[in-house]
Amino acid sequence: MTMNVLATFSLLLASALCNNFSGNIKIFPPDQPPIRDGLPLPLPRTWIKSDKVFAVLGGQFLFHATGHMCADLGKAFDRYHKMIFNTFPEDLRKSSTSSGKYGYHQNKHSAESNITSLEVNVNQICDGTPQPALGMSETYKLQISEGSAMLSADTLWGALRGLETFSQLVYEAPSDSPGIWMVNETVIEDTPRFQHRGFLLDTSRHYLEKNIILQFVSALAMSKFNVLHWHIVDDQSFPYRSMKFPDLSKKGAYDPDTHIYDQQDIDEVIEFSRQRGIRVIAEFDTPGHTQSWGFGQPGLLTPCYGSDGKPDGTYGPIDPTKNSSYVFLEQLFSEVHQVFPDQYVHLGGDEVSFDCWKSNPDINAAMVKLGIKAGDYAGLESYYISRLTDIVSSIGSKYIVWQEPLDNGVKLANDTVVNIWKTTPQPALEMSKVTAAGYKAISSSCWYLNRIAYGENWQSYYMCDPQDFNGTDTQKALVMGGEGCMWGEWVDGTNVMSRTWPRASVVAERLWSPATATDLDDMKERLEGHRCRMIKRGLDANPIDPSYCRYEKQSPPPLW
Amino acid sequence: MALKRFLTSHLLKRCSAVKLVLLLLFGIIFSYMLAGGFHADEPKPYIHEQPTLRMHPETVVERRMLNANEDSLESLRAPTTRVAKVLDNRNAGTHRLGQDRRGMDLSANGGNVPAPARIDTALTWDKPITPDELSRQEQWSKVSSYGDSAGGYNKAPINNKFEEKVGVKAADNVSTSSHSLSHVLTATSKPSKLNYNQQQVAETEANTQQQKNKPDNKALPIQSKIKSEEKKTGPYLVKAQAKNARTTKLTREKTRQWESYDYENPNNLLQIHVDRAPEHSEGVGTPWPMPQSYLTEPSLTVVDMDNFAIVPPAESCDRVDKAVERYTRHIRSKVDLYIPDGKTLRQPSSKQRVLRVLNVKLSRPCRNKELPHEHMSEQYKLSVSGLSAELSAQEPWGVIRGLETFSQLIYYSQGYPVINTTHIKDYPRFSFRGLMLDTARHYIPIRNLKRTLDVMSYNKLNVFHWHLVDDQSFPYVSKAFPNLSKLGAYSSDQIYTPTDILNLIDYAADRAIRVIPEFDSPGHTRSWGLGYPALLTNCSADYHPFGAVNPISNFTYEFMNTFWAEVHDLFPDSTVHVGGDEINYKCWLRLKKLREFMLEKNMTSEQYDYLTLDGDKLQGYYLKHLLEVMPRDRKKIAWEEAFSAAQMWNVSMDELIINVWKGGDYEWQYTMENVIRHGYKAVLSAPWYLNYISYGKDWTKYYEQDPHSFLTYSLGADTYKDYVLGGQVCVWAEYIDETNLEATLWPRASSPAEKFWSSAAMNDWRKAETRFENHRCRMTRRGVRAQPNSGPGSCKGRMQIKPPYEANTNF
Repeated sequence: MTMNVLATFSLLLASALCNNFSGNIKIFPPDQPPIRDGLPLPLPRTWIKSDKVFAVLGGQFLFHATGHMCADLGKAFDRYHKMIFNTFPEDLRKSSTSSGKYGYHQNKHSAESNITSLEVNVNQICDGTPQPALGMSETYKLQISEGSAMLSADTLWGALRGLETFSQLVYEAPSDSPGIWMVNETVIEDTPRFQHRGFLLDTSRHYLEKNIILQFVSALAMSKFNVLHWHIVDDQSFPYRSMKFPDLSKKGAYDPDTHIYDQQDIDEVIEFSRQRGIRVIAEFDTPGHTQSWGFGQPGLLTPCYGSDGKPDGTYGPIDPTKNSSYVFLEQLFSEVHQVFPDQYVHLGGDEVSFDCWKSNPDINAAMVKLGIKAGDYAGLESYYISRLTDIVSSIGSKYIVWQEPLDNGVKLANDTVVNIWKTTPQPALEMSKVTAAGYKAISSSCWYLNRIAYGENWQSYYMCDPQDFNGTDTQKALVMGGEGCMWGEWVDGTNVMSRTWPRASVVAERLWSPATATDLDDMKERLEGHRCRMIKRGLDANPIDPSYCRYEKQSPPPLW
Repeated sequence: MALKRFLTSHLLKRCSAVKLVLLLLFGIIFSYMLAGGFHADEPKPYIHEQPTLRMHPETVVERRMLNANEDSLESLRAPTTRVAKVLDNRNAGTHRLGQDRRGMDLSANGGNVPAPARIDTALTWDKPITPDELSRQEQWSKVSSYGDSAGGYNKAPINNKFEEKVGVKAADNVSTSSHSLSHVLTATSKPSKLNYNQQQVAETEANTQQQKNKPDNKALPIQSKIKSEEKKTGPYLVKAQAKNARTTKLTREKTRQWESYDYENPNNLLQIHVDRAPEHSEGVGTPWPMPQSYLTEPSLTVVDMDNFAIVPPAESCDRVDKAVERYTRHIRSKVDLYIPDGKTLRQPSSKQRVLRVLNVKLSRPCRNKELPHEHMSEQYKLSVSGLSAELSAQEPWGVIRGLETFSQLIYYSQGYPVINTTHIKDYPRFSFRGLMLDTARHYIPIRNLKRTLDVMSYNKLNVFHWHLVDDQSFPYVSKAFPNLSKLGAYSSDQIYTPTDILNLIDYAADRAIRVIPEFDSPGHTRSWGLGYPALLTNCSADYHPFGAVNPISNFTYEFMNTFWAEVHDLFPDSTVHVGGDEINYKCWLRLKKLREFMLEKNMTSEQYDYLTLDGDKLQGYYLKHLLEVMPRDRKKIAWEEAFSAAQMWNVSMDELIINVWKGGDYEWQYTMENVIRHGYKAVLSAPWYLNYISYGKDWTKYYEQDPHSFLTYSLGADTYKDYVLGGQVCVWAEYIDETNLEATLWPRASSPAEKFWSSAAMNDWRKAETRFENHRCRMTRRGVRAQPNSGPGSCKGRMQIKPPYEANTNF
């Protein structure tokens, strides 16, 4: 079956894509608007599409569960009905005076048979609150033919991905035919290439309001991401309100009342994500990147010593030689384990500066006691990481770390997942090294979307393949996937959405679609369509080119 | 004596014994000053009259330092209080200072343009200052005085000679940089311990209090400490020290917590250095852009915001009335206040000094439906003291600017909205302070343009340069040539009708903003060709079927004549932008007819011994003839390419203003110099292309650019500075639309906005940083999506963001 699919893939893809576009659309204002509607992103594994167009009647349309039904599926039906047919909240809907000069009416009349429902067949029970997890099945099949539309999937998660694709295939007829939606005759068989398709959101450098995170998750779901990597705390602030250690956020947050995530906020984000098949992996980065922890947990950080041999009043990473540090960490991480249901937790471990440890005589003395060679601070880091990973394992969590512990020769347990982020040494070399050592790997190096530049820079994201390194098949199989990153130094609620999207969708396609999908022109068409679709759904996404989207962002009225 | 008692009783609760000793000393100094240090007729600081409004301890510290300053100044100063008088005299119209300044050593100003930009303007409208006012200002000038009337705010601008002559002391020139510090200290030739910077002093102070376990405490004796403080203290520093005092307090609190928690290292101080942007709340109540003269003292008046009234002048007009209405509504809405969560505003009590009214005065009556214009007067005077506040201006535009400043002065403190006693005299440095927005690459709806105009007025920008059309689309609806937008717009919805435009112009005029339309030709015109192909040269063999506008056909000029006449009727501003940039000569030179024409008219130049056709000359020909068919009574601005063309064809320099846009970093200086040497006026855009985004903090880069910086190269600054009309921020919209326009523009455009408005002496972004951060947060509180541009930080307060609309509400 799979072989069959792969064999026919390229032919089908080519034939499918050739039909879609009309002429040269960017150089000149078009006589006809480019038809970028109805193009899915990420590209499905197989996608056969014909010129036949069916009308989808919004007023009558129903989602119809033919297999297992559950609350989550029902909510997804509601959601997608709204997203497909109510393009805007009604009060914002733009009054249109378009005269239909672009001749869409021809298309309308060519609709041969109406689609009035989508039959959704989920094979496995999805009752209760199923948790998305690594390795969940996201495979689905979608068939749209004369008079009928069918979606089948093994799991709820597959059905969610299929619903998203369906919602992307259906597009609104031009404004002279209100209430008419259209869809081409289509067959799609789809399954993701990588299991771990994540995006990092940093809420420490700037606080992000809960609703922005929800919008972000909504956008993640549109691009079939399945992991929200929540870099929740860092040097700059500690917005996570811990039940056991309330002082951490009370003293370490930008504002202990407004700029925090309490349990309810976090539950809401997790539940919102779960309903969209997105795992929430929290990152509590240690032993570096922890300055803000020190405000609420005195004694945790290493006091740094000046050249005069006295404490200079500044603090470095977590003190790895004190037992109290580990007592604290065990309590914190067991709380985190309870709050975040995902089996994985991100332990950070990046950018640990040894200077402070070096300066501190107590640390150096303790190292001798611990049997660590004098001056071997990597060994000290190793000691810390192994104690921390032991703690986290005993709690029952699996863990991800950034690449530095491995680079520094820290001994890691075999099941450690390593998150590659540096660009030097070359990510390909690093991936090769990490997988050769037998660790699972997640690649982030090419996808630091916070590092903006003028013009179009999504192409490099598209052409970066996480499996593009020298290695055996076994090594390549260890690549779990990748993650885009939006570090928060320069973004907050005002710009995080528009700065991230739609470029992140390019990353999503790389992680979902087959490695052979490398046509930049085709990608650009679909990306523009996708961006316009995001605007239609009320999400801010940057333009990637001089162009227009028929759904305008509905910005608020003048200020005064 | 009331203050002394107040200080003593209040601080008793908080201070250790050491502090008390300090305090007593200050008290003695202060009472000495009260007895003999001031003139008898001097109004007392308002703080005496406020029994109920509790002063924040920080403020007390600030006062205390002030007093210390006063005292030690006495000993330093040869002719007492002369400085302030001189400074004020300059404002009041004495030419003495102007002469002195001309003798100034430019190098002392860091190679930058000398501070005074518009001193003459100030002379013409300022009334002579009464002795009463003068003495008050003497006091204020020590508190804080920014802007060019103080001769420089951060560098030491007044040279030794001048100092000796009038007896200026360091403390009166606001200066914090160590460079200027050493300069100043040399000038006053007072040996002292220079190597203590303010930070160290504050820390030392903290150490005295806290690190009792340290025997080798480096604290100076109090008296010498005060001296070392005040020597490097300008008014600005007084504030900075108050800030340090605040930090000290915080550290102390942390220490206490530390002591109670840390069982392992009880003696350590917890100082965690977190890399955050400046606290925006440090800058509350400070205006952006900085006024030319800004005198303030931390004497607070409570503002009754709920009932606040702005009283329009007796002979008012619609622009003023609308501004008054707008700002009244705005002040009453209290959106500017950052009120910490869980705190509520308290109602002012009857015992407090409460400000309820701002009186607006116009020195000449205004008419309805006036429009802002190139010579409009935006100057204003604002004084808030005690129970009264008055804003006076010559024209409605000054009122609009002044009301904006006034709205920025109110801030939250201790449960009340308050305003400092403040005196401001303000006027713009440049008359042309523009923002160019491109609505052709992406359509921007009118409602969003209006938002942009709103935010422009928060930043005192006064020209909206509207790049309406370009290659990609033609959204402007022309009555004479309807096909332009019918076929050239992205869609029939994405257009600007004459009604839209008139509406927008009126909206802009309410905010004292001129609207200058740009119809770029002969290049950047492909979308014109969709409706009127005959307008463009057609070399269909090329990649693009159409080239630039055909410069030799009669149709072109007939078309342009009609087209511009219509534009002329619609847009009332005295200036229009004719574009003229980036013409691709390829298509022109490909056409036989044009080649022959060029040969015939000698539009050639020699290159490597070959005679080649010179496209520049043909462009000049086009420009010349275009200007001839355009309405004569308008000034034209063109992009810098038109400059050489204009020269070749003797386009009058009264008729054409050159908009310099190339050479983003510093190469523009040569173009500016060249343009101005030839007698043309110029507007500078080159350093402020905000569409060029980059990673990290970039407002500082924009802040470091100055439209006058090239003048020191070789030109006489005084002769030529007026040829620089101003500057303009550009946002080209290839990658910009409604989703990201606001976040891209603000607060980045606020940085050049201050450069255009404030004194040339405002040239160090480090000193503007806190105020900038506060301004950004002020904008976000007003609902503007102003992006973070100072690194990790937070605007506090809640940002109102809707959940995704498809979200189920019941999960």
